[in-house]
Amino acid sequence: MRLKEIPKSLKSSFMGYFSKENFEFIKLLYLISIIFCSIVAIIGFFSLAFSIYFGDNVVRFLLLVIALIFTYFVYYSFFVLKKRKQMIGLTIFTIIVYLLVYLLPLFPPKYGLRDYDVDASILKFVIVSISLVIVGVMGSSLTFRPRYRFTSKSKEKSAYYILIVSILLVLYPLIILISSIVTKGVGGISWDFLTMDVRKLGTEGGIYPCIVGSIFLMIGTAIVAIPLGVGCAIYLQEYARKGLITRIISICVDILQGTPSIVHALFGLAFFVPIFGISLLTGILTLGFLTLPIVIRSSEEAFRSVPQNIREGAYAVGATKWQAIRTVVLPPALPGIITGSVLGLGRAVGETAPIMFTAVYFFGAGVPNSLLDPIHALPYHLHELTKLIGYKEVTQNAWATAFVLLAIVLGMNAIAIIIRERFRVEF
Amino acid sequence: MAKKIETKMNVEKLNLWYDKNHAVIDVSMPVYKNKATAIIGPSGCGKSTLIRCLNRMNDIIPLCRVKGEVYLDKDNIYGKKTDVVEVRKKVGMVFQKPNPFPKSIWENIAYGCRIAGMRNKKKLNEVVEKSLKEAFLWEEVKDRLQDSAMGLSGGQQQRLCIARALAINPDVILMDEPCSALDPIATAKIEDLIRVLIKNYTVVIVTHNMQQAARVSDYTAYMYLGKLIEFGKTKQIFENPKEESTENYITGRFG
Repeated sequence: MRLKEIPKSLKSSFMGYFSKENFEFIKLLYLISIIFCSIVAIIGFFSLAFSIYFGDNVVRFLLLVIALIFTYFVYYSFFVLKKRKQMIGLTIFTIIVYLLVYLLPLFPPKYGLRDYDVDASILKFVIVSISLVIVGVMGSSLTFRPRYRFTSKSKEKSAYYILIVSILLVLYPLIILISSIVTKGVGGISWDFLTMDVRKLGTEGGIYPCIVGSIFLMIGTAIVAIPLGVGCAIYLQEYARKGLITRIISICVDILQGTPSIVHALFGLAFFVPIFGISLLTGILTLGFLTLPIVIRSSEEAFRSVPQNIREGAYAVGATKWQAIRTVVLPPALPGIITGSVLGLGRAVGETAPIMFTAVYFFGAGVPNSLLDPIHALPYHLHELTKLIGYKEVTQNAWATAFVLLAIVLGMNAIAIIIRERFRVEF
Repeated sequence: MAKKIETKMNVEKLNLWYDKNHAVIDVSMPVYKNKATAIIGPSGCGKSTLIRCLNRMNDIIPLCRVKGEVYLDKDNIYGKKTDVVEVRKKVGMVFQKPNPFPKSIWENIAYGCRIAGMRNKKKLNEVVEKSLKEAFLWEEVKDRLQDSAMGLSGGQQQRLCIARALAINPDVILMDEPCSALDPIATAKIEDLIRVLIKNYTVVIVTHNMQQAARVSDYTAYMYLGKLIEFGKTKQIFENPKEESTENYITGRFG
């Protein structure tokens, strides 16, 4: 019997299931388990998405019911249908569910996060809801197995749904993160907060110098990193012969990209601070080196996506190498370069470590008058405010700062997406 | 046709290696002025490589070495003092796959002149019109010169590429299988175009299609395994080949 036939027969004679000749206990059980697991999946999804937690006991109960159904299916698939493969899968899953039933409510941490006003049960949500979703979806697909032969079409379908679920799982943390920061941060946003100086260790006043400082850092980083990075990418991709030296350079770029940001900070402290002091310029240079590999890599990728025959077309009408690059390679590559650079800048503006020792003060710096003045910056401000939570009344300001920072970073990403979509060139 | 046949280009003892692969072996052949010369041969015999040697297009391929001489009029294009850009301005090229730039039709045609330093808009307009007319594309695109060239059909794109090559007023036009990506109607248009072009230009065409070679060319070169087996008038090559290998290929016994 195929998967498809269930809804059909269900539609034609739902009541037929209860008539004597059609009544088959196992059939009914399958239907119930599918519906049940789907409901559990939906509950799991929404509990996470909207931060509804419905208690350890309910979760335990739901999981226990699923586990019992699974246990029956294990027995059924092995002893009645003699399907070993399915049995193994079901057994593993049943064991996992039983483990979840006993272990889950123990997971959430008892202390620590509460001090920072992060709801401690948020971790509980994550763990419980994701497990409910996995158990529900996997359960509903697994319970079919011993009973129905999977055709390639239904396999195709289930693969599709499993991929959708994996995407939803990726989105979960994002939804939680953004929704909690927005709900907690929006309350602290006001005109005063955005335009006033930092006062009394951030307990009063606003974050105006931080916003200005962060934006200056971003602009400066763009000025340092983009021309240098694009130039480097042009050299690597268009001019350099593919050989040992190019490989060494590109390995170096990879290493630079993989370097922890705190190491960049130390580099900035050792090389730039002795010359420029703790200043905007030092921060810009440090962040520039952090962003450089991202710009190089994305530019290289953009140049590579321009087909070789376009270049040949330019050479064939007498273009020099530089003319060909400037006129036919660079324009179609530009959206890719800008997108990559903006994403890199988005990352740079959120970095705390590289500017910690090189560019920022927590208070007293104000808005910089020159490149050599120290600055405030949003991520570092947030870092300091978070340290003060518990000692001073800064919680609201911390969330509001986080909200502003998130808005800037997401705004940058939105700009990158818009550029990519609007100026894309098809070949 | 009492006109004396002049030699436009002359290939002398040309050898080419891709790394260790000897792709063109000791090829010597003339290219006659205002004639169409076809290069035929089975796949991988080096005919595309040879035609790319005629305007030094192989320079951009890494690990490619060339030995020998190619004379354009009296100058060796592989000479030490030769400017490769000047060579390519005199010897234009059209590729297998239409490769218009992702710009407007007007910009595509004017490209060659603009990078050569021509700024005068009026002159550029004239060049664009003249080239498009020469490539029989003017009537089809004259109302949408500012549209993207990527929106044209394959055959139109290929004629656009020919127009682009004509715009810089070259002496020789190389065509590397210009019709292999096109349908029969577009192919016929391009073949007609080639017959017209040889009044003012010299054409070298690489083709897989022997009927095409017979239709469009005055001279034919047959290559096999990197060597030039036979060169002669198209009629002679197709009707009375001297070499057995040529005959086998033309009669379709292999290749």
